[in-house]
Amino acid sequence: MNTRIQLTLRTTPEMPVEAEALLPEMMTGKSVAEIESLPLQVGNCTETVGDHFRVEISETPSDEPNDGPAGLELTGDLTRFKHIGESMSCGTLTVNGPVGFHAGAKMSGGELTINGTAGDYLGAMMTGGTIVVNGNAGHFAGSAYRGFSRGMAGGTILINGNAGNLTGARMRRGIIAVRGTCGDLAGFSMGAGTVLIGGETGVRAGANMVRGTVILLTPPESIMPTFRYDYTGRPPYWPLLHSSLSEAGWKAPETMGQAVFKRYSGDFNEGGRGELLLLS
Amino acid sequence: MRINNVEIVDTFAEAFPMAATRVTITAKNEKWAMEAALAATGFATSVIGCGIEAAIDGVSQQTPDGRPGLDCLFFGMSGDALEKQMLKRIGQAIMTTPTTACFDGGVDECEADRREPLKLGGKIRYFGDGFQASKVIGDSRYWRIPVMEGEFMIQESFSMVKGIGGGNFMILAESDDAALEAAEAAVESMREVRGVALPFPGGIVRSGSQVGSRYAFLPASTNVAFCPTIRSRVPQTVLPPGTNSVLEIVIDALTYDQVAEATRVGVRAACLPGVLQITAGNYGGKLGKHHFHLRELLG
Repeated sequence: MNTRIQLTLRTTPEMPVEAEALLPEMMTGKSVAEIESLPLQVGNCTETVGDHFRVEISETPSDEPNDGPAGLELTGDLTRFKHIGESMSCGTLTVNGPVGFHAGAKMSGGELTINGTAGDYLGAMMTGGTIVVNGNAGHFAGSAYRGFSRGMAGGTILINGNAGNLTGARMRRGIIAVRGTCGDLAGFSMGAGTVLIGGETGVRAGANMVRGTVILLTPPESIMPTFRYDYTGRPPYWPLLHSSLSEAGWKAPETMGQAVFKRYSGDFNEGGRGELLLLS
Repeated sequence: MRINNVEIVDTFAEAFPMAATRVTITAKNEKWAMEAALAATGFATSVIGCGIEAAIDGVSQQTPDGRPGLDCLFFGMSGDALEKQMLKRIGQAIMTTPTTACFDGGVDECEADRREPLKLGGKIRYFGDGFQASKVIGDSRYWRIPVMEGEFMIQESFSMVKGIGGGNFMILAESDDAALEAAEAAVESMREVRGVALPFPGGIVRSGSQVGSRYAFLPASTNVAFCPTIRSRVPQTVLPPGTNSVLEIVIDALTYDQVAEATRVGVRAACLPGVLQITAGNYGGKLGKHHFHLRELLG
């Protein structure tokens, strides 16, 4: 049997909500009453899931045994709900509506799909799993929190809209793909991993990067002077990345599987071992 | 037992466990994939003289980078021996070929608990002299090695299993032409079986060997019992009357079933006019772990 838990927002809270409890693994195996009694920190008050959501559980027959967590679906304007999907390790969490800050932060597994916009710090410090945003994301997607030298260390973030500033800042591993535009300082101080941006990007992409790759499918008018041109050609790993993103649902144009790029090494302020690829 | 009037001897082939792996070589087009595959699997007929046994398995159904590719099989006496040879062949034959990339071809026909990692890309990467970089895509790490042509990409870790080496059968015929025609027909059928390597040239051995020699410096020598030109001088000859030529086909594969299937289709295809008998080579059954009884396979 496949179990599906649906939470539909009834009353929009007036204060920000700390929604760490809204995780598939927290709700699997629980009854409607038990789920309704899970805590939600609303401002400085502890309320419950049932105070704000209508909870429904449905089960559908399946040919295969399902020992994993239930699929969780949230519906409503969750702009004030922070930390949705934080530390998620398995299962699927689908949100039909916008979400607040820190969605998917510290994730280590599972799939988080947001059919709406996401606030700042989407997927910050994550180490695994997949986040798909069918909308825009805020600043600091896949980045490190202040005071940490490294941010995202694994997993995949796919943003089918636009992203804000400092996307992938200090990332250590993983892939971030932005279909639309991106703000300033994409890939700032990254240690490894890949940031791919389809649309226009702001200034200083790749600034202070130590290693890793920033791929710009809409090349900017200028790049930082601390990047040096290497060559123009077809990076062998691009078809793998392109195929991997396509399989994950990132709508990559079919013809780009064998694209030609201009490659720049940089940031030479940090040793020059990073890579900036501009679609040629 | 007779098939198309060819006697199938009541005997068995004796085969041995070997460390095995499958590698997918991709390139800009089929031509360059084939160049790399031929170079990488060349001079790999026997572990005794070549250190490794290898052959092209077939066209890759799906390649990680979407380019044309060929799957190649490699067999060694041990995991260490296999790794040592593979590093040489990848470095000298695959990486040197224009436009190639090298991936784990997978061993899906073997259970997961039989697979061990074989770190090849993780060692070839040092050719990059410190300028190499890696990318993790999905669950795999790929090394990007800067080369004069551009970049050579190789997967860090490949899958190794305990395969089987030394499956065989011999075609005893009235003439060399008849033996060759039968062997060619057998090879054509056997090459349809995936996971099977026929490591000798064209898949056929014209100079099968026996263990030992009268010369102390030789570990093996011509298989006198099957040599027609000295039949009258060899008391232990096994050649039936009328035999004027013998060819052997050696079979390596990833699984027992693949050796069995290849033997089955090969023997059937070889039962042509001019062929008198099909037999197999063994060591009395006391050395090799795997036995392939001809009549059981073909019954």
